[in-house]
Amino acid sequence: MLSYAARRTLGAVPRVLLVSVLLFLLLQLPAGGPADVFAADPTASPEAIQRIEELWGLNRPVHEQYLAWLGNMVQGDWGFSFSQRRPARAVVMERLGNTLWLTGGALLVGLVFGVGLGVATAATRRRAPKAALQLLSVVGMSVPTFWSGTLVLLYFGVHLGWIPSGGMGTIGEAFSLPDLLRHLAAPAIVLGSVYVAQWSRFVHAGLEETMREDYVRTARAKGRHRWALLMRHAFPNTAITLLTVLGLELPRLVAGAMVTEVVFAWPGLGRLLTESLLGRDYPVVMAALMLLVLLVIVANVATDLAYGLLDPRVRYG
Amino acid sequence: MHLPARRFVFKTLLATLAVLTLAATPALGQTRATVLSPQEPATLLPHFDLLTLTHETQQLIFDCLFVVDQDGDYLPNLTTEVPTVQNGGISADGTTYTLRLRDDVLWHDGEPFDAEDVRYTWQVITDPDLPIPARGVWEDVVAIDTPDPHTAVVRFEETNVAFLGAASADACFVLPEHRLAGRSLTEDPFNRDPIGTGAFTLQEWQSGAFLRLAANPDHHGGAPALDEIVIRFAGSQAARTALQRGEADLALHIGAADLRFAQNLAGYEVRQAPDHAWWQFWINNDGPILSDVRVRRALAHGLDKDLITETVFGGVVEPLDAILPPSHWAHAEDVRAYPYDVEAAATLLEEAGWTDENGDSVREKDGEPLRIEILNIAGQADRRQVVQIAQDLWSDIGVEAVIREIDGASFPPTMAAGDYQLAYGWFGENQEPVFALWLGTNWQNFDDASALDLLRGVSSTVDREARADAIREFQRTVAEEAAMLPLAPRPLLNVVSDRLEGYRPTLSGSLWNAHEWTVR
Repeated sequence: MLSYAARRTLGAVPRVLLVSVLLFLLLQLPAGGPADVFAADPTASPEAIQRIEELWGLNRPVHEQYLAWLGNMVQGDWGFSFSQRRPARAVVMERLGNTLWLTGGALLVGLVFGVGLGVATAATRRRAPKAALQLLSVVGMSVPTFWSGTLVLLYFGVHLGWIPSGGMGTIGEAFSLPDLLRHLAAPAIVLGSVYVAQWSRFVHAGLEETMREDYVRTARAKGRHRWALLMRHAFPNTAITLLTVLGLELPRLVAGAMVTEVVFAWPGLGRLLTESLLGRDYPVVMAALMLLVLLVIVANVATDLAYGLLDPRVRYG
Repeated sequence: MHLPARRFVFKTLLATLAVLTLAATPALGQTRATVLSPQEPATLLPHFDLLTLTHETQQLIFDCLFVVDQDGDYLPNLTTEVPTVQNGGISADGTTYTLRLRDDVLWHDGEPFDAEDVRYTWQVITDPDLPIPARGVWEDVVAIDTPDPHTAVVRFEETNVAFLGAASADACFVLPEHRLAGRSLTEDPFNRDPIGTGAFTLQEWQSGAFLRLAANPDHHGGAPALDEIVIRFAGSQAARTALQRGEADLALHIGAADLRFAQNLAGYEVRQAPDHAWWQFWINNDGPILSDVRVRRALAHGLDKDLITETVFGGVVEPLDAILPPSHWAHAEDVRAYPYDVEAAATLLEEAGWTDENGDSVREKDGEPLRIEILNIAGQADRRQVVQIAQDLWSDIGVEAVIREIDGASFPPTMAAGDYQLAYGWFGENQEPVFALWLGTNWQNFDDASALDLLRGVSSTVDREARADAIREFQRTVAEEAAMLPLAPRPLLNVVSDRLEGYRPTLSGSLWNAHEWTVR
């Protein structure tokens, strides 16, 4: 299994290289470069801006810039942020941790409530809960998080004053887990609600379908209780497909938390990426994007490995 | 569930609640002002980041040699007096400035501030190997002599009238020579962990979230009354929530889209901060259609500035006709104005040969439609509103205005390349105008040689009234030619809490006197 993982990871190297070339070229497309951000202030002289381009190596041919970047990257040097004047890796990494808290919380909300609702509605034979679930998931999937987030903030934050107005912790206090959780709850629920909507439908449909399979009918004929049928026989099969969805979702969770991050002033990676793109801080943009590329690969390999754990039919060779 | 178990769960819940409540209570006896800023500084190292909001934040940590008061006059800050020709601080020919420095100023690490720091700052700003985007008048300095630790003599080759302005409001923060000399400024951790001579010292910087600063009891202007200042980085939505909850004492530079919301907030007041910036339509005077002064004047007549200032800027600013706002001492009031007049605009366009032959309500000349592109920066609601209103208004005079939106970093190079006809943006001038817009970038391709020569003479005219006369004459020429289309002063709006006392914004910024603030 380890050799399989190693082979899969190594096999991804050409793809990572290709993606990095494409990203690097994409960044060259728009009219202004990193130094032009300063030109928005007309007190910056054209000579000074040209000098900055020289200092940052932006006047060199693109392929030279790319090779220099790649050479540094493989040696663990992710570049130096143009605007923040510190290593891009430090800039990105401090935000990654923040985003992982948020997405981890959202994932937990999504899994607990999504799977829970899906199983609960599959277990019942009554129509009303099933219809309610359908309505809930349509609403949940179509309401954008900037809107639901704003509503949550207005009602629970401003009107009731139950949740803080944003950020990751109370300013001026040392880090504490209860404080973090207090700040995390609302954004995690808002971001997670989308997953609750998606995954509850997914689990519900998967279970309903599996319950019609022959082996489930056989088990039922043997007199097993509906709950046991659901959890022991049907759920493991649904879980495997849920895993695929999760594996595909993981990178998007990291990058896609941006809107929620903006609404709740959460200092995460998505906001950093947007700000760095607008500020043309290419080293930070590349560092953040490459981190996401690596996440995609790791998530894919991890999903494949998890199949083996859940499904005894899967063998690695 | 057995009873003891239930009791255990209940107790645990209570304990959790108690911890959560405690975590939310701020430390007792501390006075803190919370300031909201829509943007986070990229670096706190002065001179490397030109954002106004970065300058505002740096104002708490660093000091300028002088500050500007509410009347626009200079006050000594790191100096004991403002140099003038009368007190011998400025040589009669305006080439030498003798600065008498205070001897009671300490850096945050306890080292004394002296003339070497002033000289070092000049060396940094003019170091060609540092990525500093604007060097301003410091580039014209030929030497800074330090005859004693508390005297710095700044020498120029030619008469310089812009020095005091630059040393009080723009590239003016003095750097600690003892801490930075011999180090690489672009890589030193100083940019995240700076020391200055300012009233507050940096305690904590959580990227993307906030800066926390503590009072500096040794501050030369007196110990601050507050214990801390927190700068929270909050976009529009986060700022609204914080203001509604009464968590902020000051919100800096709110957008026009938030103006009405802020005007209706109880316990807060929207106040305009002094600023020499204004919104305008750049005109590419070199273009095939806009090189004709009649077309430019027609566009000016066709723009209802009152409508825009009322609807987009909430009526907090008046329309502007000159290329310097009324807040500026050299503003000219008597420039040619182009009142909103559709008839006059139509007559001018017809004189210029633009008529609507085919009845599609767009004028043509030689078979070409009167189509003009407006360049704009994408993603800002108030900018788009203005451009769309202008588009509508100009369609009434038979001009088909097409909006082209690009991102902020692409905007300057596109204009510099002359790849535009009209462009909507703002421009700010210094207290001592340097006219970078006309003598430097000249994106509008204005080529009236005699008018530009008049402007060049300003920097060597020591007498302020004579300078003002020349600058006013230039404004009249620009308005006569309709070479630029000014719209209104830029409303630099701060939302100020009733609790905050001592808030006195000047051209030095909104936070320059934060050591005098108190929060009720």
